[in-house]
Amino acid sequence: MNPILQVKNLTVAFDKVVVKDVCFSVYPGQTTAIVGESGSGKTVTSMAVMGLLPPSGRIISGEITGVNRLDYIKNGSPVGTEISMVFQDPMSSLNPSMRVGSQVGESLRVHLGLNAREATQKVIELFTEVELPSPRETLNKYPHELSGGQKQRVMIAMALACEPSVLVADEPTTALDVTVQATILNLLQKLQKERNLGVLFISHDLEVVRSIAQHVIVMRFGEIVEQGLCLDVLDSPSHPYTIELINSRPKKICEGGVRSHQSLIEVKNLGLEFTTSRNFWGNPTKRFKAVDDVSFIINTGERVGIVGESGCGKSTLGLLMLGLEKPSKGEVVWKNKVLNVEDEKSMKEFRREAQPVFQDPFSALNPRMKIGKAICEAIRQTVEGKKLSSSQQLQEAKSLLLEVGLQEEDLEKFPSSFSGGMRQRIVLARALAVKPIFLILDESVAALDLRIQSQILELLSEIQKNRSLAYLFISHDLDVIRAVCDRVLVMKDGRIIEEGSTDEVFNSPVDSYTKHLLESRPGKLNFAS
Amino acid sequence: MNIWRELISNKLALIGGTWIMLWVSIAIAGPILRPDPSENANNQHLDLSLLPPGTEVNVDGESFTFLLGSDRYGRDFLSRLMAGSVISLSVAGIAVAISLLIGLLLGAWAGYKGGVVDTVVSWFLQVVWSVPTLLMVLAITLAFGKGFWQVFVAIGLTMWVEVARIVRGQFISLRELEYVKAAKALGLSDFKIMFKHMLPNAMGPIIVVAAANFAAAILIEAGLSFLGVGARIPVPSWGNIVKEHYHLLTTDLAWLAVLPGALIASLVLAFTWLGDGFRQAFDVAK
Repeated sequence: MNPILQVKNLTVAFDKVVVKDVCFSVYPGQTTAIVGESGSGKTVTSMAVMGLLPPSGRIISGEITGVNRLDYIKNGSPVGTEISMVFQDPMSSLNPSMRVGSQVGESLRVHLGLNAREATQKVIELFTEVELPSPRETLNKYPHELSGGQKQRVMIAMALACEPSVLVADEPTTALDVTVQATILNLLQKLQKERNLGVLFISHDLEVVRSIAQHVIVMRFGEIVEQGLCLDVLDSPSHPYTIELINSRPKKICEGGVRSHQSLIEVKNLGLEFTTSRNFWGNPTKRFKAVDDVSFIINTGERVGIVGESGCGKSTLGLLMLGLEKPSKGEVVWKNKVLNVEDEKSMKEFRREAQPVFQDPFSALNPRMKIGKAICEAIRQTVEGKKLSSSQQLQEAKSLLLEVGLQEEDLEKFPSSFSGGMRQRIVLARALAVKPIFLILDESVAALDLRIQSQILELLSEIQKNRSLAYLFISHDLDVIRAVCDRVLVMKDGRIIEEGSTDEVFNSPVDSYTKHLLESRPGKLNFAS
Repeated sequence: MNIWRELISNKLALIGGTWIMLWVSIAIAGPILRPDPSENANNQHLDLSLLPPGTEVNVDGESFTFLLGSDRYGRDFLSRLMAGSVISLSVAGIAVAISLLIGLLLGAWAGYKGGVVDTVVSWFLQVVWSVPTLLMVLAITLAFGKGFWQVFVAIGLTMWVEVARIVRGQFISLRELEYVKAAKALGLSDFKIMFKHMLPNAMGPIIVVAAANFAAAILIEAGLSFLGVGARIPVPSWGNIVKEHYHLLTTDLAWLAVLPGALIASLVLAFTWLGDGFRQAFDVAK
């Protein structure tokens, strides 16, 4: 088969070379996937193919050739309408002040010269094709009225509007929930078959790639380390890096430490309501229940996971349990005593024993504070820590850094000199500085590359065992929860709909939503054949 | 820090900064630098009024050169201009200090606490915002009598609103960041969280507003002096020097009004450039 797009010896540089000597082809009706971690040069490659490199980047050598009607002019930009792109974040790639119908119609009118009526007709056809519910009504909606998955469907419709022969999809499902991800991948498959599209698919997720791609390219530091037929590469990888990537999916179950049957923290009928609309007199007419009547117990040393999709209220629940948000009903019982947010003295004690680790390693540290200072500040929050001299505090901070796998000279550095994974280690060290017995880990590994993710999870299990901590792990990722939790709660629309030991829930789920979640995991999908 | 390096590499900001430093040193050095070292440069010789620049005269047996000529009361114009900078700069400095003090405290409190506190403070901001500066100054002058302390306070009291708005906005967005939540969960006091963790990260926009406020304060003071509400004669300020001479604008002696006006404009421009430079430096540093 003749390739529809061919990239030969592509080298791209910004200040330094970021993509080096990359060769691959995209075939009609097939998917070529580029896999790599952040910074591997996969997105830059796709930008080069699209002719969308920022002004500071340039193609140093190599050529991109399109067969068929796809022509590249001298400076490397594609001409015409034969190639188009779907981006990662559907929230920011649609113009929020324009109705989606006219956004898609715009490119039809510009590129195909259709008039307004023809364009509208075509948009309706496209919306039907991407399976948007009630296409005619959707035309007049604004992006904020659509869900994330629907927005991505609009983006796909827009990309297909001018009937391209190549579609570049840069992490098109990364920002979406697993169940939505499955439907979008399914849709891409269907469209590819119908239109004989060549797809260049950029992803960090090997399981997703396995389910849809025929060819795969593994990139690292801007170079291709391995490439070939998808199943060949993924089932019998030859390069050690590929092997490491494949093994980094949290499949390994980490053992927990000693558990007891003594209740540590208990949540009783906890609820949080927001008023979303009021009538003329200021009386609420509509309420939104972010957390709805949730009750459960976590015992000393126990590892509990909460799993659910975005917007299910799992993060809010975490904030309520930490006393960072006031519940509108119910209570949190800590060591058999009801927690009172107003009572500063008992709260201070509670804060020392229960610590959060949040999702985003880039906003979790004060950018203007050295690591050592940040950790010492936390140490001074404890009764013993206050009595220590500043050199003793530094000593303590050092041993904490060593415990999380960093070096003592890192004390003198600012957060900006660390990568995401290292920052998350620092955040963990800061949380441990007050010697807590309970951690709330809110999507703590979600922003990290898979390989780093599994390193952090292993570190976490080790610390949990050594310090016999209890924790609540909040995540959207079922595999992560399975790897590090003894018990799991499934949350949907603010309620807990299933609860049980991890094995029970994963092997024999009762609730239909839990089943659906489990089936949507990328590892379970299989379209390509 | 690379903010300073960035700032120095910005030509306009460097020119603005140098010009400001020059006038600050002239204001501080005061009588030492002035050809006419008397208080307020108020040595009047009515018989020597309105002489052209460079005129040499004999005063009390000593020879004296009016480098920039003499004003309508026969005073050395250059000395008057130099002495006038004191008022402009000190009004600006004190007004900005007052506005920063009030604006930072109220803005930070409202932005950090949110809820009822924020509603009340925001309402108060709107009320103060809606009072015209001139009206405020007149009201304060009526209440406390004429004089430039009242002007300082009045200008400061109208300008803090802008600072408070910026700080409030910054704090509202910082409040959502995870390191602030983490600090709360560690049990740090509100004061520490606000001034150790949040304020240093909101400094960029605050400095930019402060520089803009300097410019605004200089303009307001000039306007007030021109109206006769500001500095009291014989204390010179660039505003009242313009007032004393603006009737000469259509004559050969126009420089007597144009020069102080140009100085006001140049200092305002200098502060604007400096503020712009800070803004760009902070953008780059990010």
